[in-house]
Amino acid sequence: MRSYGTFLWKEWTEVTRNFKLLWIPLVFLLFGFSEPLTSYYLPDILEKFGNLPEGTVIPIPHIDPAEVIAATVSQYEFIGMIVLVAAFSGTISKERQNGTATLIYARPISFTSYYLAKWTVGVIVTFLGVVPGLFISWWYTGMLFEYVEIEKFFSFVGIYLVWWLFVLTVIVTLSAWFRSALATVLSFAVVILIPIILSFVGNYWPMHPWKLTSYAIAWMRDGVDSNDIWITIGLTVMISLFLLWLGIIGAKVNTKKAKIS
Amino acid sequence: METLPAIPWMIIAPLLIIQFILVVVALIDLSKIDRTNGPKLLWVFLIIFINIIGPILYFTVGRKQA
Repeated sequence: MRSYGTFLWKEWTEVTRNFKLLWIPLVFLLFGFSEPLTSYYLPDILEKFGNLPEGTVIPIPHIDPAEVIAATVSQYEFIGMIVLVAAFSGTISKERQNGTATLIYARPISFTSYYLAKWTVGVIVTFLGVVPGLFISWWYTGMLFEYVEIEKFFSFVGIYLVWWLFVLTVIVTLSAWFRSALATVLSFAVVILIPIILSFVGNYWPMHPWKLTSYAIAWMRDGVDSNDIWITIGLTVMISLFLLWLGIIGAKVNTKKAKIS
Repeated sequence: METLPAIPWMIIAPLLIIQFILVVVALIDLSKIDRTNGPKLLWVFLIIFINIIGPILYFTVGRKQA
């Protein structure tokens, strides 16, 4: 595992050089700030730009602070996912395509270290975005409306991060197995398309990774836990571990696909 | 423009700062990079004039990795 440190360093230099370490967290932060603000100023915005007839009174329902954080989450579920897929779906496959891989594969490397280093850096970058972003959202929501209890908020973040771990594992594993373009398409299918399909048909099947987000939000809202949550978390962690293993195999098997330039 | 003082700049400032950093970083990177997908000048305009999405687009699809 000594090569793990070397690979980690290589990946780390790479994400700093191509600014991923900077812009990905910034994008998440941006939505952490903007969602509470939008909710807060929505009445004003409607009044100023909504072209409503003179004297219209919009009854604004009492806003539940958990609702505002949930709005941030729904931005993350869409834009955050796009950003992440775009940033990491080429992480292994691109090295095979542009010839970097030939420099790496020429040595007797440990594919476990190689894969895990990529995965680790991906996780760090993602968490540096999601965690501060959510915290900012919590803080701003507290300032503008009221605070969500911090314990509930932390349990929410904890559960939610399991979902992001799963997402990242899927993306990196797909990148290990397929070409960049295909990996990107498949990643989008997994993180954006499947949730949409499941939201139509998945009501009768309470335990799968795609449920994690709604469980996390439900926990923040009501503070209740049910057995389903724990089983879902366990299941997701197990699937992620399996995917990690599959990814390492994939990285190894596909060495022959590396383009020699 | 009479509503301008009513805007709580302190609250909105972080948003503007982040956008500004994104734009500046994207432009710096653009000036250093060899080639982009599509003409460079187009990216200059996209980064500057499209809020938030411009720089994100540049970083995701605009950069051509060597």
